[in-house]
Amino acid sequence: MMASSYNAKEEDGQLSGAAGSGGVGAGKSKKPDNTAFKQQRLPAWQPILTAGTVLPAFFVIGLIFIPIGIGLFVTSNNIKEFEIDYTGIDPASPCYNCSQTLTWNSTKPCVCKIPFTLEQSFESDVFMYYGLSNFYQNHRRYVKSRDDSQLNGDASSLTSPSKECEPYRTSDNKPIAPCGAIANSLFNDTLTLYYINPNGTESLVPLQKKGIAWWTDKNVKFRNPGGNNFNLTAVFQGTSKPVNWQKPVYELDTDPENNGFINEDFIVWMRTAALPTFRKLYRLIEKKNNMIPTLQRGNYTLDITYTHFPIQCSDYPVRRFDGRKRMILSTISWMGGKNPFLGIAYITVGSVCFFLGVVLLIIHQKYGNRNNSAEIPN
Amino acid sequence: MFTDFLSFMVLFNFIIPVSMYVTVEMQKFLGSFFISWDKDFFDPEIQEGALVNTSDLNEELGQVEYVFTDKTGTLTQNNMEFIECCIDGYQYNYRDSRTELDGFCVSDGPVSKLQEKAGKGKSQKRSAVEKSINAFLIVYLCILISKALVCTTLKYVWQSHPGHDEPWYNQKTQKEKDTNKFLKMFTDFLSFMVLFNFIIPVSMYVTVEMQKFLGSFFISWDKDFFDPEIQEGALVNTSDLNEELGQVEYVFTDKTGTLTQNNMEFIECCIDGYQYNYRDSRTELDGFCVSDGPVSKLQEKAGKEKEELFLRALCLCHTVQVKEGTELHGMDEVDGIGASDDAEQCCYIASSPDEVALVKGAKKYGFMFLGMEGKHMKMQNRNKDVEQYELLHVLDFDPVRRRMSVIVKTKSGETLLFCKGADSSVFPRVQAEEVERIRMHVERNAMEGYRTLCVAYKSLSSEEFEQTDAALQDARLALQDREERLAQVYDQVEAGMHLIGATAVEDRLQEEAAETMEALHGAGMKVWVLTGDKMETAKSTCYACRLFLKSTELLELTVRTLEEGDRPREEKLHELLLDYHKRAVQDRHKDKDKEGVTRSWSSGFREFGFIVDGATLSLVLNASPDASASRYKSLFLQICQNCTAVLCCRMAPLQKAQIVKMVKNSKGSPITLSIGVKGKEGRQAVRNSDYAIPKLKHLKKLLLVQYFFYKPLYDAAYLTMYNICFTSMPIVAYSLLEQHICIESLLENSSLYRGIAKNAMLRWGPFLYWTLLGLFEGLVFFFGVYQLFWNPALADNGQVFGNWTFGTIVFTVLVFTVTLKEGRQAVRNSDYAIPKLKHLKKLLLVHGHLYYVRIAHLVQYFFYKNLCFILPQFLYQFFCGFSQQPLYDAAYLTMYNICFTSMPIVAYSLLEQHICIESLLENASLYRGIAKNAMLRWGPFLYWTLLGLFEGLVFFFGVYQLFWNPALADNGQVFGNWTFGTIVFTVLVFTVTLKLAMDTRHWTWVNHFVIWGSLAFYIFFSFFWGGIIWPFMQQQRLYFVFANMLSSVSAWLIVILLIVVSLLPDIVIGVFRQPQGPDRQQSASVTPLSYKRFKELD
Repeated sequence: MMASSYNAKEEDGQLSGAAGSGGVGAGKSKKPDNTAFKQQRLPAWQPILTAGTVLPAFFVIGLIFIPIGIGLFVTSNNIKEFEIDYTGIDPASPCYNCSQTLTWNSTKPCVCKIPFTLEQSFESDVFMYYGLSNFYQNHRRYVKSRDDSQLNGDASSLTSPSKECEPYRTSDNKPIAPCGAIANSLFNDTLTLYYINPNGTESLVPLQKKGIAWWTDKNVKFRNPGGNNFNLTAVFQGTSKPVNWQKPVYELDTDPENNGFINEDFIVWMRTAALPTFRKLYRLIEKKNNMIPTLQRGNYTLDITYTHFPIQCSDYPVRRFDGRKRMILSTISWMGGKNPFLGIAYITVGSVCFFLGVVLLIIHQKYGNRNNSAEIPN
Repeated sequence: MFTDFLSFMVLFNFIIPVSMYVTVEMQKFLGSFFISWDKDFFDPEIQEGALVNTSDLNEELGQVEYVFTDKTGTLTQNNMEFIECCIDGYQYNYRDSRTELDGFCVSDGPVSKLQEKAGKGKSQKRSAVEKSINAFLIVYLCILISKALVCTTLKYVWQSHPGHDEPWYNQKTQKEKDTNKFLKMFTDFLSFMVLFNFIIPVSMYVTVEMQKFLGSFFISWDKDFFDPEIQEGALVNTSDLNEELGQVEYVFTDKTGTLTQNNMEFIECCIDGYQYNYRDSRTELDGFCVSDGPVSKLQEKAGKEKEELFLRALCLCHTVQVKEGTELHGMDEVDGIGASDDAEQCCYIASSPDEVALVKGAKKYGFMFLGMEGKHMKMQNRNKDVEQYELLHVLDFDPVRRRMSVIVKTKSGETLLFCKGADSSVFPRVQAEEVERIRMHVERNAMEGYRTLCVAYKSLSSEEFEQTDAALQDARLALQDREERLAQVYDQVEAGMHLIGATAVEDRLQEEAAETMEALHGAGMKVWVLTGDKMETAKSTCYACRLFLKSTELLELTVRTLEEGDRPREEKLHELLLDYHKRAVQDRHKDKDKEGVTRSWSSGFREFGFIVDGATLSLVLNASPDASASRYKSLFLQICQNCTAVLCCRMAPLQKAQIVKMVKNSKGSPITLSIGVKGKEGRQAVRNSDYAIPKLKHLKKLLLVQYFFYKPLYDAAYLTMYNICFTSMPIVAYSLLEQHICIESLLENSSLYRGIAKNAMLRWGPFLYWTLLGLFEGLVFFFGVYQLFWNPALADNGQVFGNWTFGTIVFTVLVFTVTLKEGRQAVRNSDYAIPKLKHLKKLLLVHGHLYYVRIAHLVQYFFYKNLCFILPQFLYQFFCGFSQQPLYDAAYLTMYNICFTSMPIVAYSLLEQHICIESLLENASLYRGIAKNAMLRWGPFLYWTLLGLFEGLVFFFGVYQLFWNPALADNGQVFGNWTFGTIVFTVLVFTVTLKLAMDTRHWTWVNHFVIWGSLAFYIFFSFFWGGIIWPFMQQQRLYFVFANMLSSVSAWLIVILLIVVSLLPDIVIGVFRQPQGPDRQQSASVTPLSYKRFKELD
């Protein structure tokens, strides 16, 4: 790619040096050492970027990037994604009632059903996400409001959480476990999915809870206190549940492998999002049978069960800050979820490089020769 | 275990008093002012006080064990009274009695005077690079402040929206709610400053210092500078000004000893109008050789009496010392100006090589000076008889009179006065008809570039002598106006003499003087020769050095040209100045306009040489104090600036300094280089000469050092604030003001000085004492407080505190660094010593050029890399509610400048040779490409800044687009904000490093190692940092973030894409810049990508 030349300065330097030192004699001399380094004559590779060397580089970049871009674009387009907003802004929406503060009856959880239709069947594994927008999970006060050593199962942090958790550090003079604003605002809508058979009966789509959090988070970073003691109720004795939670942390799930701090929904929530509009993995729908698509095309119902939220509201309250709630069903490829940006960017950059290559080639052909001939008289 | 160890290291690292360095520097810098402020050092005569050239060695003043001193001018006020004594066989005659650093500096002759003056001029200006850096820094500081202001404003705009300030999921603590709104705004502003402060490349100062320091070794290591004769290479006394060597515009040089070897050889003499040659047929000066007459035999042309009188005069009229024996060779070297004759048993030592040459010349004609015996001068005449003369008086040489005389008494009782001196000072004092016979010879010799001296004598009658003797004694004992009175007496005595002859002495040119001057000339530097010699002599030397070429048009402004015509001098001067100005300045501009925009120095121009002599110069500079004076001066300066070479002859030492100062203070304050040759003694003197005074300094520094080691031991809570804020000011004040013994008693009891000799207060004993004290107090404090405060709340407070403290630290360090840097720059004096003039070419053309390019690139690169480092962080604020959420992890923030990106630029700045050394030496014109600070002007700065802006935008928005769907892993899992930051950071580190790799023209193994090494180190560090749950960290933000990022194909693809996109514009601009007209060849050297040209030039 680049013209290069290794210069052999070192050898002649040493030759003359040998002669020189012989002449000076063995006496102590202040003569500087004749080493390649000290004489700034280290052998060096001297690449020169010229039109001639840059041109092929442009073409090569173009030729590599464009296919990659096309591949990415096609892959991204092949990913099937279905998104449904269930915030309930519109009074016609079935969730409108549940999202209203006043009409809600606290004795019974509010449930709303949203019917939807999949136009295409989802062939491979399907991932179910919930998405929130205008939710600043990356606010500094929010991001630092957690105690990682408490979440790592440290006994002393369990009883005296970090100051960073303020104002979600203690309630009723008992330390909160898990403390902090992030944990306190855990997303708690329960989403279930029903497939409406052609005959009208509903059948539950099996949603898998495990495998949604990073393996290292689940197995190393998050630990329940008390080690292998499965009696979490005893372990969390003397702590208080987060203010906004209905149930304490040790009742998040019945499965002991998914309870307490190592509840995967909790772990996913604790990984704060980068941008105010984000999505988080909620459930997996695994492909069971090679013959049947994971989600057939047809009609479905999304059931949202709202959990009691102590601060004078019904559902997971996002309308307060103009937020939106979404449910996303998506398949996944080797490049992750659907995102046409990468493919388009690759195609663009590849084309620009190619174009520049052509332009440079023309310039080089037209002016390069003339320049050279003009310089000879000089 | 390892992590525990590390965490303990972090916890206890405050025991190393890092801030001590800052404080010590500050103390030195501020403390040195006390020396220059001390009014006891003020000398009312020269209206100057002590001058401190360096602040680095203040404390060394308290450690002086040996004092080396020069007699003349240092111990004595002038040398009149001690005229007949000499120290250790050395006697110095030629000396300016007004030494600049009265009593401190052992100066050596006019050359070092010139340097001191130049150095002083320089000390008032910071180096050009330094100035650029400071300007850029101000720009970036403005960017920083405006960023913080914008963010603060927008934050409050954003927060005014109801759901934003305090949503239900993210409530404030009670304390935050209670805080005053304006206080909160202020703290918000501060924390934005803290967040963005990395845009100020603090570490650049360290790197620049390091580069300069290490880089200066290359000069002393260069074997081309090694001179086998004196067994020494180049000596670098300062590392601050390496890059200035690449920026020199004016070169001031002394003729004698610099252009020429100062190795005199007696060439010929002229006695009573007859010419005598003593000459080897070989001459150095091609084309000026006049060798006529038979060689080496004195011809009987003049009368024998006259001839012998002349030779006797040569033998007697001098201040040469004779040293016997061979051990003197060493001394010769030390003196540097002595001369030894291998064939003879004796050798002559004198302050001026002319005298030695004359005495030796006399010897060749048969009159040998044998030395002094008591007050008698012994000499052997042609008949091998020893003659003795009683030396009665020596009327010393001084640059004003330009002559010296001796009064001797012959055996026969005759009293004779012999005088020798410059023709101009001797001719008026002898009979006119004698002058006519000799003038011709003198002028011809001068034309040939020889130094000429005239010899005259006078026979004094006993009455005359008595009178003179009395007058001299009287004048010497006078307490007031001694110099004036002496001069008066001299003037009286040295009148009415008889001219007997003239001598011509050749001063050989330095090796390769012509080549060197030609190269400097080609490099666009203007060479000024400042000399005390005759105009003709100097002119021919200039021709010999190729300073003036045949084609050069000479503009003369000398006494001679002024005296043409009958009008008064001032008028003529005015007219000439205007005329020359028209020719040299205005016409030239016209030519330039005609030639169009090309701004080249090509051969199309007439070249001008300008000659001015001392008398005229003083007319110009000290003209009548009306408005025309400044006008003359500016006209004169403009003419000078448009000439390629300027020769100032017949200059008094003071005028030399005046000239240098004038040019230095002219518009644009160009960088000047004064060269002069110094003997070893001179070097020694420069090294040791910066101080005088007291031991106080020493005590202060030492207490400072001890105190710092002692105090962190017993502190736990506000570790950071502690060193920086709480305890630093008192010790600084102490170190500046403390006088544990009052000054008077220190002055009176010099024995007190012994108390601190040999570093007594910084030895292990006192150190142990302070450490033990610290330990003891630490224990007492700790266990005392332990009982009360066994509560980690203190440490938690530290966190709240931490953010603000952090900002304070950075700013304190910043402010200190900036101040100190400037201060140190200002007080340091430049000094490079090279053995031979010919080495100047390489020093400037190669070392200067390379250093400049290296440092300029380093500076620009630092600003660029910090800009694109911090810009994404700034943009991120728009998406996190202006909450000061950092984009990168704290470890990355700190490591970025220290570890990930620093080593490649250091290696680059030490090793880069964008053009190979050989072609730099061959093409002197390449030097012009970097003239006038070309690489650190606003243009290139803007380019780099825009590049940084562009890359910052690309980094952030590229990753931002990707994170519209944060499900990047192939298992559907999502990535959070730390992954976002890590991707941006990875792209950043790679781009910045690869950008440097692209600019590197000279890849040695070190570059390979360092560039690929730091990328590898980044990856390794990221794995390591994310691979462990760090026990001392509050948050495990990066746990496995990097590894998970690498498991995602999309992350890889975006990283590669963004790197390519960021580097693309640089490549394209580089390539497009190439095909521009041929006149761009030279100036194109600044663009990193256009080196093809130079390959072609080779």
